[in-house]
Amino acid sequence: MATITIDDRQYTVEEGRNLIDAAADLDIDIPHFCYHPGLAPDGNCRMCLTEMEIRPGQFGIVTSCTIRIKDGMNFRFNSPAVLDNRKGIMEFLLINHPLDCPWCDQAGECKLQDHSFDHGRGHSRFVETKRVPPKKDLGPHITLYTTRCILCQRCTRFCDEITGTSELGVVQMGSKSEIATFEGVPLDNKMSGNVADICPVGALVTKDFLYKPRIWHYDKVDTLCPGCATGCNTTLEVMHQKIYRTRPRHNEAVNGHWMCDEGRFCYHDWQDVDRLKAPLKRVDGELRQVTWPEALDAAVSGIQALLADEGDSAMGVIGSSMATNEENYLLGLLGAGAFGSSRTGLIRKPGGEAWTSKSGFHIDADKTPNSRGAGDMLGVDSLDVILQGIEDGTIRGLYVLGGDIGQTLSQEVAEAFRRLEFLVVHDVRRSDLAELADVVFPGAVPFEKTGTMTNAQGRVQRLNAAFPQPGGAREDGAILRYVGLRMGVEMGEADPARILEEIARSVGGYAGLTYDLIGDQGAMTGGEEPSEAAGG
Amino acid sequence: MATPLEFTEEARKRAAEILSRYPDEYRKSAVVPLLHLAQEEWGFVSPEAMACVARLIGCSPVKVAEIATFYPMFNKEPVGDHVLAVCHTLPCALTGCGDIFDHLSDKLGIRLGETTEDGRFTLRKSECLAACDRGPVLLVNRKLHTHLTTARVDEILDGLEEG
Repeated sequence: MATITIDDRQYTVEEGRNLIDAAADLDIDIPHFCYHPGLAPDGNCRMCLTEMEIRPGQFGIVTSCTIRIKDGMNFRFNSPAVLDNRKGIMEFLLINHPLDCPWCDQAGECKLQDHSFDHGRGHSRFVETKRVPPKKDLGPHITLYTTRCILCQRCTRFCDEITGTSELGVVQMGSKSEIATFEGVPLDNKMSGNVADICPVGALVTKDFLYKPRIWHYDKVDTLCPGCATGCNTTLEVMHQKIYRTRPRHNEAVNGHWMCDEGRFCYHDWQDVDRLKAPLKRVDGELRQVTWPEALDAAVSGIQALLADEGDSAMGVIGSSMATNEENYLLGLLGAGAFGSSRTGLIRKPGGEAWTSKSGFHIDADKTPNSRGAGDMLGVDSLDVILQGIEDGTIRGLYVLGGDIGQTLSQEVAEAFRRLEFLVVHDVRRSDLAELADVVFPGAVPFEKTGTMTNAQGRVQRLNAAFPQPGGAREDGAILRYVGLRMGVEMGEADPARILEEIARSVGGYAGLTYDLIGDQGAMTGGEEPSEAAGG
Repeated sequence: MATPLEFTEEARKRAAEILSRYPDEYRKSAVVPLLHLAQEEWGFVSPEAMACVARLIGCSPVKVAEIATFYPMFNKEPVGDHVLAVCHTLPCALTGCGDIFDHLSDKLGIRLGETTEDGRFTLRKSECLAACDRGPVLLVNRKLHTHLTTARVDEILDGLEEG
């Protein structure tokens, strides 16, 4: 730790931290454009200039983003020289800026707007003609409103430092300078959407979030990306039960400040699904929509008939890598309590492409968010036991958590399921799995669930529901409790925090974990923090 | 983009010589001399030429475009045999560079940035050429001419016609 002086007051801050971050820790805002905590400082925007004592009694102007805190440093944040500089920088930055805030998508979260309000002047002295370079289509996801750009080069540095793909550069000279791609080499990498997040103004925008409602109309929900086993921390922006935007949420141990485009835009796939909004029951060989009591009765009587006929353990359960730890845990309770069966399985989705960026940001090959957690809860990581049971005739019924919209059953699994006498399924659409079932309960997608998930590193993180399930669909945990209650299995309160306490008592590696401990940054199973931060 | 350009055998040897001046980890430092080489080779620096240089120094082509578009003396489009650049910064303007430019423009029948139909001359304006005490000045290819008058300009052009 180091003791520094800011405007004649003493503070204790972390040594070696850069001045902007150190001041932010003290809730002091140093205005800046080009500095971003995920990128190396560049010092090009000159907005963060402050005064530092360079010789006893003598102050000099320095860029805060490049200053590393040392003990005894003395700063002035509000001296006339500093304030005058900010005013001057704002005036220069706005010379060619179109001031088109009324239709700019960044309005409301724009650094240029904020700093102009705090440090700019109320009118422009610029009487010459503004430059109006045309907007550019940079790549599949990103458009550049060239007029709004202030050339802070966060985007070019992101492509150099984080992805290592270097598609962006500053071409031309002086007032003609512009962000550009090279002919035939568009901004097309796995993380390109991040440049829109880090753009401090409205210059870089995703085509996905163009001309959408104003940013202050959305509810923001901190949750996890369901796209892969990395479990990037995200913030959803939602309105009227619809997601409008996904942005990465900082977690140094997981995703840093970033997320991949696949995860960022995957909410469309989930929203475009033709959802199941009521339970289904097989009547005369066909699935028909029924009421909840009818469906629950059908499920329970079907299971009980099978158990009466065959005795315990004729039923098996299959967990879901799309479901939370709590849901998979309740499924295990239902299996053991109501079916007297410890035969569990997990359908593993075929792996996709893994990719690691230059900076170490990792996209996992496992395209489900919670296969590790589901496996931990059920003590299983494959379907072997279940398939063997069906093969030798000892398993004649199954209770399956589905809910993965990207999944289709393999030939082998579908064949096996067709031989079952009774199949209960939770799913979010009429999937090929649902089509085989005798009873289908309409479940929830990851954006509608609250609970925890365990990523590939073994980090337990919180998932928060952005909005309720549509129509008659319910959270899978609630459905399991309905079935459990009818079969005389006590599952306790539905609160995920309480269920997690139970998990911490009974599942190896989860000891000591609580909802509060996990917080918004997650906590490692086994109580160990990874030795090295994985975030990019 | 059109088909990739490659240097001729002769130019490749010169490129290798240029690259040998820099340590391997600083290959990118060779970008400016290699762009000069490309301009000598093809007369101007096309996007294909920038891509060729980028391959040689092992970087993304947009990083070469940053340099090539920054310096006005790299021609981004085909130019005539002789590039005439009249300085139009303040001291030259005070000593009459406007007349010099108009004279060249009338004599050659071309406007700013244009090339004569026979492909011999391209007319440009330039920023300060660091000879303010000797203005107005004209840069003909790589040679600087100072203390210009319209008569002196005619002489220079005649000299070029002969050469």
